[in-house]
Order: sequence, then C-alpha cells, then structure tokens
Amino acid sequence: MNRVHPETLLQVEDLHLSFGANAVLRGVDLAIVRGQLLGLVGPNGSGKTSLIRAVTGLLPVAPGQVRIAGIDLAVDPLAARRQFGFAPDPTRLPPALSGRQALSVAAAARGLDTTPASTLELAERLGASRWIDQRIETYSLGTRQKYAILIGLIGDPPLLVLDEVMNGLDPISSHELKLELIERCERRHCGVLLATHGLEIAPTLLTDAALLHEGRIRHRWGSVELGHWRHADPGAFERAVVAALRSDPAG
Amino acid sequence: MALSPTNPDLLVRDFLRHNRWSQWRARTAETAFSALALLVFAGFALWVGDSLWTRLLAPGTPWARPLPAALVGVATAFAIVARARSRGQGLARVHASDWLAAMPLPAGARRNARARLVGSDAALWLLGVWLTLAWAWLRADQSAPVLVVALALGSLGGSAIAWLMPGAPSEPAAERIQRRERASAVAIAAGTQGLRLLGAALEPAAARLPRSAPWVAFAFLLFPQSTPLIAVPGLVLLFTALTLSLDLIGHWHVRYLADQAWLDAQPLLPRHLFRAYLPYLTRRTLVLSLIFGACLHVLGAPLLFALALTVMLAAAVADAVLCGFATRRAPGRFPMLLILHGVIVVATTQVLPPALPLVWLGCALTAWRQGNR
Amino acid sequence: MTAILQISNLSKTYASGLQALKPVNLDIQRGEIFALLGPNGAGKTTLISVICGLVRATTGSVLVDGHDIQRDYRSARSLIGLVPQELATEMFETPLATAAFSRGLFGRPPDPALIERVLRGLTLWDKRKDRIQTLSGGMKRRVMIAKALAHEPRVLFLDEPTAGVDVELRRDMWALVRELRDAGVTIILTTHYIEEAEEMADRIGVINKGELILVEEKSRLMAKLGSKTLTLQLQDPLALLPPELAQWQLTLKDSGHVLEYRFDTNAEENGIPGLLRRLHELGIGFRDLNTEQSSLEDIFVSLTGKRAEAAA
Repeated sequence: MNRVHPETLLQVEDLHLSFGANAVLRGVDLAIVRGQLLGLVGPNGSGKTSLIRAVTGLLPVAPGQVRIAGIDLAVDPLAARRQFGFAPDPTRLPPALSGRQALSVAAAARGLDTTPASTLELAERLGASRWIDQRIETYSLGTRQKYAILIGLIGDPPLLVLDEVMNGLDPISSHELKLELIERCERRHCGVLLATHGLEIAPTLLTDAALLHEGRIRHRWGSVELGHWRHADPGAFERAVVAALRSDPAG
Repeated sequence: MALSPTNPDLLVRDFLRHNRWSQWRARTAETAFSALALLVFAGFALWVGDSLWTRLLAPGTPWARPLPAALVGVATAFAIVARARSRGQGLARVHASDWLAAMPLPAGARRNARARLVGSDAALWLLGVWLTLAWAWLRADQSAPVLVVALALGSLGGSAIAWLMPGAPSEPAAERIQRRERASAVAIAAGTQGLRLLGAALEPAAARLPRSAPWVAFAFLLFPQSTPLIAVPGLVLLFTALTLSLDLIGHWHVRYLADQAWLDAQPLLPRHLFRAYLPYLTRRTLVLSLIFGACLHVLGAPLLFALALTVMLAAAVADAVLCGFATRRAPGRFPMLLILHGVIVVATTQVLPPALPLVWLGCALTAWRQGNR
Repeated sequence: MTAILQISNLSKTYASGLQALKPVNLDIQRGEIFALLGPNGAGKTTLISVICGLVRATTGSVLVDGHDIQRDYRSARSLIGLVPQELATEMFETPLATAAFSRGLFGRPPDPALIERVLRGLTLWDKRKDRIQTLSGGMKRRVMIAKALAHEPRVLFLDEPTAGVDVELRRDMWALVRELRDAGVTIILTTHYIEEAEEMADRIGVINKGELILVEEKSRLMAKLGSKTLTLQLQDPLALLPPELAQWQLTLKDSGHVLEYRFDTNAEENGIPGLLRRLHELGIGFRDLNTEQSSLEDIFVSLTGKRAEAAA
C-alpha cells in the first residue's frame, strides 16, 4: 500500500481562544510526530482542557490552526477526526447503556461493524470486563474512566488525545494503560497527547513534555531530558516543572 | 443519506429500547399491571370521547363550516411542529458536547439521526391522531365531515414539516436559559436557606420546557355552539388555567428529577427535598384553581359547583405531584400511576360520588408513603 | 467496645447477574480509620453506596450505631457523611454556602458557629467566600469534606479521597483524616494505593472482584506483606554470586547486570548498610540503586497464592 504517512500527527499553530473577555489560549504552538508520547503539563486553570477541546474540535477557535496528520481540522473535520481518538469525559458516558453497548456505538461511529477483539482484550487487561454488561450508571468513577479510555482507543487511530485519564485508575490498570500507550507509540508509530497534572508518571511514560502556562507553551522537554530523569529520583521532573514555572516572566 | 443502522445515535436508541424491553420483561407483574391500567384508561377515553365526537360533528356547529375548521387544522399543524422543534433543539444541544461529539461522524449523520428521532416521534403522533379521526369518522353521520378532513390535513402537514425540519439549536435562546438557571443557582446559594429555595429554580426551568399553550386552541372545539361572544374571554382564561396547571406539573417533575439526580449523592431524606417545592407549587396551584373557579362562576356555574371544581383541580394537581414523588426512583412509572389514580377517581365519581374525598385521600396517602420509602 | 457499623451478610447482585458484592461481614469500631483496599471495579464504591443508601442491597443488613439503614434510615443516615469521588459542587458558588446548604439538606437547623469550626478545621475559612471553581483541586476536595461534615456525622466515608491529587496534597489529606479521627469521627476510606492504606489506616480490608478477601490490623498485614526489593544496577555483570554475600537473600537478574535484595520493612535491621559495605569491600560497583515496595498486585498474588495453598 502506498498510503501517505505524514510524519507530523498534530500541528497546532498560533491557537487563540477566549471566553468573553477572558483569553484562555494566547497563541499555542505545538507539534507531535509519530512515536511521540507528549505530556501536556501545567497548573490548574492553565488551559490544558481548553487546548484539548480545541484540538478535538469541540471548541471553535479563531484565529489559529489545528492540523491532524496534515489535515486542517477546520477545512475537513471528518477526515481530521478519523485520524485521532479522544477519550470523552467519563461523566458524559450514556448512563442507561451498558459498557459493551457503549463500545459498539463508539465502534459504529468509527465505521466499524463490531467492537474489535483487541478493545475487548484491553478491557480485560484493564480489569474492566467484569462490569461490561452492567449499566454505566452503576459504575464507579474508575470503571467509567476505563470505558472512556477504551472508547478513545477504539479503531486504532494514529493520534490519541487523552485528558487526565490516569485519574482514579488503580496501579495495576494504570500500568497496563502505560504499556498499551508505549506499545502503540513504539510499534505502531502512533502519537499521544496526554494532559496530566500527575507529574510522578511523567518520566516513566512520556517521550516529550510541554508546559502550558498563561495560555502559551512555556517550555518543552525532549526524550533525552526525560530519559535522564527516568533514572533519577521521582521528584526530579516535578522540580524541573516548578523551576520552569518560576523562571517564567509571565508567571 | 447516512441512515444505516450503524448510525451511532440510532444504535443508541435501539439499545435503549432493548434495555427498556428487557427491564419490562424482568418485571412481569408490574408490566401486566401497567398495561391493564392503560387499557382501563383507554376504555374510559373511548367512552367519554364517543359522546364528544357526536356533539362536535353534528351538522350546524361552527366546525362544519370550512374557515373555522381550517383554523383548527392549522392549529394542529402548529402544535405538532412546535413539539418537534423543541425536541430537535434539545437533541441538538446535547449532541454539541456529548460523548460522541469528537467522533469522526459525517456532517449530516447526527442531523439525520435527529430528524429520524424527531420524525418517528411525529409519526407516532400522526398515527394517534388519525386513529382518533377514523373513529370519529365512523361515528359521524356525514360522509366526510369538514372538521375531520381539516384535522387530518393539519396533522399530516405538521408531521411533514417536522420530518423535513432538521433540529437546529437556537444558540442565543439556549444561552439565555443557561444564564437564568445560573442566576437562580446563585440566588439559592446566597440565601443559604437550604432546600427551601430549590422551588425558586422552577421559575427559569419553566421557561425552558415546551408549553402546552398551543393546545388551548383546541378548547374552542368544546365551546357549545350557543356560546355568546362575551363569554369567550372567560372560557379562554378557564382553559388557559387548566393548561397552565398541566405545565406546572410537567415543569416541576422535570426539575424535581434533575435536582434529585445531583442531590442523590447526599444521604438525603426524600421528604425534605420534596418539601422544597411545596411553597412554589401551592402558590401556583391556588392562583390557577381560583382563576378557574372564578371563570366558571362568572360564566354562570352555581357557586357551590364552581367551588367544588376549584377544589377538584387543586386536588388533581396535588395528586399528580404526589405521584411524581412516589415514582421518583422509577420516573417511567409516573404516567402509569397518574392514569391509575385517574381511573380510580373517575370510577368513584360514577359509583359513589360522596366517597370521593376519602378515596382521594387514600390515593394521596399511599403515594406519600411510597415516596418516603 | 461496640462497633459503630455492623455489616452482616451484605451482598449486591445486579439484574444482569453481576455479583458486585459477595456476602460481606464486617464490624467497624468506633473511632478507627478503616481502609478498603482494592482495584477499580472491585466493589469498593458499591459497598459504600449500599451503606449510604444510594444502592439497595440484595441481601443482608447494616446497622449504624444500632440503627438499621433501611428500617430506621433517618437516624442511620444522619450519622453518616459521604465524600463521593466526583466533585459535584458546581451549583453552589462558595465553600460557606455549600456547607451551610448541605446542613439544610439534612434538615438540621442553621448553625453558623459549627460551619465556621468545620471550615476553619479544613483551612477553608479564608477562602469561604471564594468561588469554588477558582479553588485548587485539593481545596475543592476539602470543600467536599466540609459539605459532608456540616451535619455532624459520626461516620465519614471517603471514596478515593486522593484520586487525581498530587503527592503533596495527598500528605495534607492524610494529616487531615487523622485530625478528623482525633475529633472522634470514625473514618472509612477506599483507596487503591497501598502506601495510603499503610500510612493512615488502623485496619485494612482487601477487596477484589466483589469479595472481601481479608480484614487485618495494619501492622499484621504489613508484617505479612511488607517486603521491599532493593535493586542494584551493577557496573560490571557478575557471573555468580560471591559466597561472601551468602548471608543476604540475593538474586542475580538480567544476565548478571542486576542484583536484587528482598528485605523485610518491619525488621529492625534491614541489612542494607552492611550489604553496601560488603559490596564496596568486594569491589562490586553499581550505577544505580532503587527500592520498590510490594505493590497491590504483589499483595493480590500473595493473597490468592496463600489462599490456594490453604485450600490445597
């Protein structure tokens, strides 16, 4: 197959967003290439969730440009959306459907006939399959979170957009999820954008990290730095983030 | 058109239907009981309606003339379109930010799904209206009563528009309602008076729900032919009071369920939450039933009769609210319980009218105890 | 000593056939901190929801200070406070309003002095008039706790109090829970972090797949399971363990590049300084060392392993 494989999966250029007089994003530039697992870190209220919502087309932005695998999200939203998977807010999952039914609906939305076996297998690994035929309204937050992640990963899209998905996951499942994300990036050349405030997980999972503060990307760390911190003590990355925030003239 | 069964929104609908069906099957006794209550109610409606149709379709009524009949047809079309529109807008609001909002769905897929969901709803209405009309036509003496033709055409036209109209949200309206709800939430918080102020939130919520006002137009059908023009405002007021009472129950019920959903994380006593709405409900019910009774009296009903009907209206609203309270854990049973209470009350009026207050009290007490469980 | 919470034969089976909770028997003592430890979906939230009256039990009963949660639900529920996982406080703008409102929810008369005490105790008093939205995640969680405490409950349930909370806030939360206990509140919390259970609880119950596998005093559980592993990344690979190191429980891994030492955290002498000294004397250099505590997974493996042995 001679399909074009663009190297850059996400390209955000000069993205602005305001709610009324309140400017949340003030010119964000961000890129993710294949194989990159980029952590979006930043203090509460720094605009992480707004950026995620803008990247997935849930918030209209102007001015600015979002390209997913080379496709402009504003020009061809359908083709752009085929290139990424997004884990929805776990509290928004349909309460009266079972987990299995929600997965079939998500599969249908991605043009698949049935829920892929790999998704069900991942549900098993995440320890979520015990509840699969139970209505979502009876799930705890952690189990809901797992189904939201499964929905985001369904159909193996090249780019994964995940917002605070590690929240509330037990250590076993968050380890399984880490393995899955790393496997997708290394073997299948996917890219991941992961917004997180849990800095402990960062060095062991991410290949890249970007600090969002006051509506702009203030600092970016590459795989070399993160690799270095991986073997240092767990607080090293946290200290680096705090140092970057302190040295930020805007902060 | 992307109207394959793989349209995710239609798949959700199918799954919901399936889940509801298996729930019904799991509770056989309850389902049988509800079906029975529905049948009794339908029988009662047939019995009342039968005499109504003969009177309405008698030759010489204004509705036998083309222009008034056409007006009724247009009102029908309007009511159907208004209902479909508000439903489509509600769905569009949900679709804008729900769990499938970021999925790669073709531009028309969700709009089509909305049209299908709203359209099948409109089709059901059309079927209901036409069945009623077929029955009326059978009862009529003429071969093609003008009113029946007008209603048939009106409902068909209304349903057609509802089918073709994609449910587009009117953003400014949605924002306005959100702002008002927010303001009332702030008002509640500022008061820190606890639950009492939840009732205050009913006011903006009332603005959001579809009004049954278009249906007032149909009240004209029921006016006797000899109605003097001067009595018409009184009659209109009377029917408005009735429909507003219906709205009152509807708004309260939606709000009550929503409030309960977010307050349920609290180990909260059911009656404390319920009590919160009582001042608002009492005030409204009193005003509406007094207007209703006063209109009756002014229109010539004896004082005692008008008073009795005033009390009955207030009692009916109170009973409906209690039914909502009783079914708070399974809101699907709300209409069933209402119908059941309706059948009991009507049966009592037919058999032993003086026992009515006692029977009503019995119904109300049962509902109250059920709700407190 | 009377138990403040008596759970007997409590189970929950959903219509789909899922046994979310297998029959549970458990007594919670007055004034203790009890941690319910288990992975997501194990039934922790189901158990709490049943006790708090949000979900109806299939079998069994719960007594809260002698009051049955179904027959005498009013007294039972007024003794219980619940801090749920989700931060659902959008409706109410300020911490003060939220706490005062919540007291109203339980039909208690307003008591500004008490609300002030609760908010001060949670260091929320200075922020009582701030909008909740503008507060940090940890502060929001404190607002949820203030809300649950506003009607003076005797038993407080904390459903994953530190999920999504960073390390520093987690420590604050632990201190806070101890203060509450000292003020006489019995605390039941769920967690999937073993260090959290170890840090806070007097007793720990381990739950997995709807079954309460064991309930144990913390110290005894930790003695059973509290082994740690010290991993040394060696500079030069070792072909064999030198006999000089025989007194330590060592294993060579990764074709001689990694040396692992398992030691008991509860032993007075863990032997690490001696081991490091001896390695130095032998000229065995290492690039990196780190310690790893037994994880939740290890505990489950060892528990289920032990159960299998017992059955055999």
